[in-house]
Amino acid sequence: MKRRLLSEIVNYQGQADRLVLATIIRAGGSSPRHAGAQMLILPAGESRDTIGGGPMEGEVIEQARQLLKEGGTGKVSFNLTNEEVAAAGGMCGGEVTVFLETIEVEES
Amino acid sequence: MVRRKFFENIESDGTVIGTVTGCEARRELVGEKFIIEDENDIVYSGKDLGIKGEMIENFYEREKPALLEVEIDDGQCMEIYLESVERTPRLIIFGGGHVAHPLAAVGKVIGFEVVVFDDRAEFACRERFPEVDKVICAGFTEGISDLKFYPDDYIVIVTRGHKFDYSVLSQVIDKNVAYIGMIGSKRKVKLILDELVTEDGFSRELVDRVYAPVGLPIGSETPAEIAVSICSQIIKVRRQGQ
Repeated sequence: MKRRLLSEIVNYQGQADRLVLATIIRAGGSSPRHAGAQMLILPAGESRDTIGGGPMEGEVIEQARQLLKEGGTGKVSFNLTNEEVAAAGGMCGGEVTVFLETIEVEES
Repeated sequence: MVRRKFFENIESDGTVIGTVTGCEARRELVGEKFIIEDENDIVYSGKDLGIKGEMIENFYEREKPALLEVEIDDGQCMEIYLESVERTPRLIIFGGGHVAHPLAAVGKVIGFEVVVFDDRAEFACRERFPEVDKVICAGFTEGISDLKFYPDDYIVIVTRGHKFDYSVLSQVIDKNVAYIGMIGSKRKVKLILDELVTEDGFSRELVDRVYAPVGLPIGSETPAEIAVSICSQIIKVRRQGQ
């Protein structure tokens, strides 16, 4: 985890009760980011950093929106052939597993 | 679910963070986290998962994140994701002039903690570099000894004169950093580098490590273009190791 992203979490000052952290825990093929890439999803469509953009990131953000409401964790795998990715408008193929987790922002 | 407070326990860079990302038998454990500052000191976000330092040590190279299967007390398997807290790499720019200005901006955009160092107050100031992390105004000969360097530091020397470039380079050339680049024409750069060997007694290996003239050869002309060429080289070194 990048120190900068960690600081974003620790120093978050907004109104939200929850944040969602998405992490690529497994990546193969020619996926655009390596395992370890992380993204923080905030309410109101805001996010920090990226797990590679494209349709995969869009899908992860969708799932994150659910978790922002309900809490909990999620795991989503993408096994994208180059044709599928190209059809969806992305650039690279590869297998990717993303883990999503909710961070509860309690009053201090 | 993890409380934000848990992340406040993570102090030093290099600290290992573990996350349970799967456990068929005990789904309630998924999402539990732990921090390993050292193997005898494991802090859990919730339940004590019985993680042992040596259990992790066998698998984990601190350089890279890892995903492993670990057996817990009751013989069940957990999938654990391990990562470490990475320092933000620093781009340290010596000289606050016309190249430093766009260089600081691009450095910031590509994810560096940017430090600008100059001996002139009107160049080493917040008004000129509002976006950078640190501006240091100190002399090139005496100010550098106060700096501590790290292996993921990237140093670019773009002072207003070769005398200062030489002075800075001679003080940083033997530091354990990721990258040292110095601006200048081929001829002037060669003079400086040769002098470091013949006059100051630095080894040829050390001198050959310096990227000078700095930047990738993309025909850049303006300060902003030069900044992009320098940052391109820095990205190459950072991501490809050369």
